Amino acid sequence: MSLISKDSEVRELVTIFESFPAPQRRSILKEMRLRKAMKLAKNLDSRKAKGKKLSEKEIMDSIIKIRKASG
Amino acid sequence: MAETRIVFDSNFWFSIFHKNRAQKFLIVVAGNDLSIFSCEEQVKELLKVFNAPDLKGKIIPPFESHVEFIREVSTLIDIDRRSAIIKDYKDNYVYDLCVQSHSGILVTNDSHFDILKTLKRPPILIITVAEFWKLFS
Repeated sequence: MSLISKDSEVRELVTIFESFPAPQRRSILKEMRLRKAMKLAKNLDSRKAKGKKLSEKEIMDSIIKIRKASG
Repeated sequence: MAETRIVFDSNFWFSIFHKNRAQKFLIVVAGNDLSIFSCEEQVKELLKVFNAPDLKGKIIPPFESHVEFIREVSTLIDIDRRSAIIKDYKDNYVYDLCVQSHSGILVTNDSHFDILKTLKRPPILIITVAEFWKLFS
């Protein structure tokens, strides 16, 4: 029962996603990949003792700062 | 913001993991909206380097996460032909990767790639790792 419910939820999400125009779909996918890469990067950098783990906010603030600076 | 397509040589990828710069790299890539390109040949080469006995301890396993990170931040393309421009033959895939991904920038400290500076077409800008950080940070 729960599987059917999850399956229909996924289908619903896919339908919503596909209703967006292509550029918006691309930016959603980009954002999803960025979030995943962020988690991986944190994990990779903190494997060594000297590695610093930044918070998601710190990373996003730095990204916004560069975006603003490069216009 | 115009899209900037970039290829990094394997030493660069190794150095960001070795120097704990994955987060910094991600910030620069996302901040500048850079499009990174890689290929299976590069992933295989990196895995060989990670597992090399003389480099043991430089990169902390499991290496699947490193590969996953590369796959998330870059677009992997299939290289369907091999040039013979670079002196070190096994590095020619990097040139092919630049050409086939239409990348205008190659980041490398390897002087073997200097020959690309003499090519008029396709125009590929060769920059050093230090120049990359200076330019985009």
